[in-house]
Amino acid sequence: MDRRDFLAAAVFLPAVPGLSAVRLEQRPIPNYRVVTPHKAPRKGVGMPGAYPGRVVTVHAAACIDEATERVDVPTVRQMIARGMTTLTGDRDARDSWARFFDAQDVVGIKVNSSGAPGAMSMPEVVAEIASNLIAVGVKAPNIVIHERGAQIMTPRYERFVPDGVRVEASTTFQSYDPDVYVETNFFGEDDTRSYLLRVVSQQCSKIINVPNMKDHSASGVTGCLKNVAYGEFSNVARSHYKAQTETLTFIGTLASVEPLRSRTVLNIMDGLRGVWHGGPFSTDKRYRFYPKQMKFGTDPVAIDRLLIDVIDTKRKQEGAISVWERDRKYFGTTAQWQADPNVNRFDRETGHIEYASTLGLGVYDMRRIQHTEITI
Amino acid sequence: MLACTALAAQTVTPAAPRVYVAGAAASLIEQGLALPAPTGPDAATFQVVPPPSVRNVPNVANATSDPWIDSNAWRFHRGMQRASYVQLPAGSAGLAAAEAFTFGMDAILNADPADLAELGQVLRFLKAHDQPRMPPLVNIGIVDDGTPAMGEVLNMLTRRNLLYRVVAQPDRRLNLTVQLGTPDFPKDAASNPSEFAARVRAKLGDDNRLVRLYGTTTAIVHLTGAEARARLYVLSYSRNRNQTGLRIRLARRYETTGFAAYGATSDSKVTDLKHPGKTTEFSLPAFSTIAIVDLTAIR
Repeated sequence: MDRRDFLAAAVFLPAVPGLSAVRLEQRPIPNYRVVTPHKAPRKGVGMPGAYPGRVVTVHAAACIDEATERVDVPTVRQMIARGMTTLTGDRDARDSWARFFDAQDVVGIKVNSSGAPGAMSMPEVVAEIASNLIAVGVKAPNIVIHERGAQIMTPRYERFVPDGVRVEASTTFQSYDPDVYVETNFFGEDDTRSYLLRVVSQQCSKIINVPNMKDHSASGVTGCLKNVAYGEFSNVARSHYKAQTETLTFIGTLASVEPLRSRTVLNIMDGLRGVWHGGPFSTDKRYRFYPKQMKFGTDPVAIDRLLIDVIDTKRKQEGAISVWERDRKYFGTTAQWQADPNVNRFDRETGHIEYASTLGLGVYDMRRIQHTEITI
Repeated sequence: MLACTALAAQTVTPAAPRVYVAGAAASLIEQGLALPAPTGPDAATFQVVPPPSVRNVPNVANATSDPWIDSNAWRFHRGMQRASYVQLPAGSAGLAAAEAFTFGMDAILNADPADLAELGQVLRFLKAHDQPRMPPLVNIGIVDDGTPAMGEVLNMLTRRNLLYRVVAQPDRRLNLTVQLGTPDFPKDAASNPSEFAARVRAKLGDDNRLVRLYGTTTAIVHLTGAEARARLYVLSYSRNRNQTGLRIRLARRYETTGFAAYGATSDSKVTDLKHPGKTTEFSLPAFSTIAIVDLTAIR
């Protein structure tokens, strides 16, 4: 069966300085048809944004109690303030926030609650972000905490955020914009379209991306890129088939679609708590860990590049195979993968982050990433 | 590229289907929604069919873990005239009624007692929205050799919403004729019905498919029409019979002139109607079991 439409393999890896072709396989990319009426605005708007290649990591040992998993809100408040001011170079955090948002904005906070309650964008973090938006004039009803699916209701964000801030689950097809989609046929599936959420294309003027730090069985790790790509579009699980996954190219392709790309102006990675194996949905406490940090930036690729090291380092500490490991001798069933961190169930596509850099979404080369680390 | 032509499969308008009930469903007869199940020789003219259902068969049915739909539509396409759903597990009677209605089958429904109230509501809905039948619109012809393997091919084409009719010989008026033993469809290809259906799909081309569905993997469509009018039936085989909405692409320019959906709210309607190129796209709201869209062709 001829189940795929391929472009020529040669188009896959353009000559980009710093691209490590060793890790990216020379394999053909699916034929993506991007349909959107939205045009890309001027350069510098959206990913990689105002600060390409710049990442600020704020560490704080007191941000979460590992035993109780209770979040220390004052510490989180301080982490966010330091992260933002260090990113922008301002003294006052309000000035930092005002660089991105004003009273006219409708701001979507794209959380990740797919592993809730075990792993999720922490409500305390999301609430602090919402408070900062309100402080610079964004009206509470114009703040929309959202993501695809009903899982977003599990963390009960509405109990933490300022009054008036909305929490929206997208549980019907009417939640998606019929005019914005990516069409491709990966493995012979009949439904070949992935539609963008209307909240992104029809409500929000800007998006703050708030991913977690998680291992991911298909994409290697899941951070900024995957959170806005797979979390804002429908019908994405079709990119996994048996041991193969097309996350290598699909994540970056989706993240590049307008208006998602230009409206995603800020990434705040919530690394208070993470998942080092069994992601993204793992509820197994054995695989939970506490990086106790947050990463700030406008460049999703640069942040995700650093995330790879966080997850991989933890996996090595635990004696688990690397997020780059693709040897088929480590393959097993889903049950085996859940039980054993030295089992894979997909060819991990950790290279999706580097691939996204070739689409202009950010900086992957560590030599070009300006990483500032702060401990409070 | 093939020209996309929807061909009316029959020239004679079929009669409205009749519903017969057995077992404890006397109340439906009293309400005028069904007839008593026939007995004697007449009963023998009904062929037994399995209940419509859905199963999860990970990585077999399709790309990932798509549900495996068990629909009788392919049996109806193959020439069955009268169907007997002799054993309908709880939860399946409404869909069985909708399935038989959609494909114009006279059907005996032996419903689980727990389903009678729901079945009555579905039958009431179907009765309210029945219209003089129009012939099916298809653009694929299948030369059926009558073998079980070909039956499974028909089943797979139905599940993929590749609209076909069984033909005795190649019909040039159709976009594609599928005949085993031809270069495009060698005999051994039918040994894997799923891949065979994919081959048919590739040969026709997605752009030439009369109907495409997006946002669901558990719906089967049936398109009928005559001259400028058309009617699209959408059957939901999901486990709970619900669809959370979906998008439809038709390979012809239509305006929608009517919409009815079981289980939908009274104000629900077709939305986001667009005409990209020579096609029509629109979205359906959430519904259960069956939705019906009436259409009129436009230039």
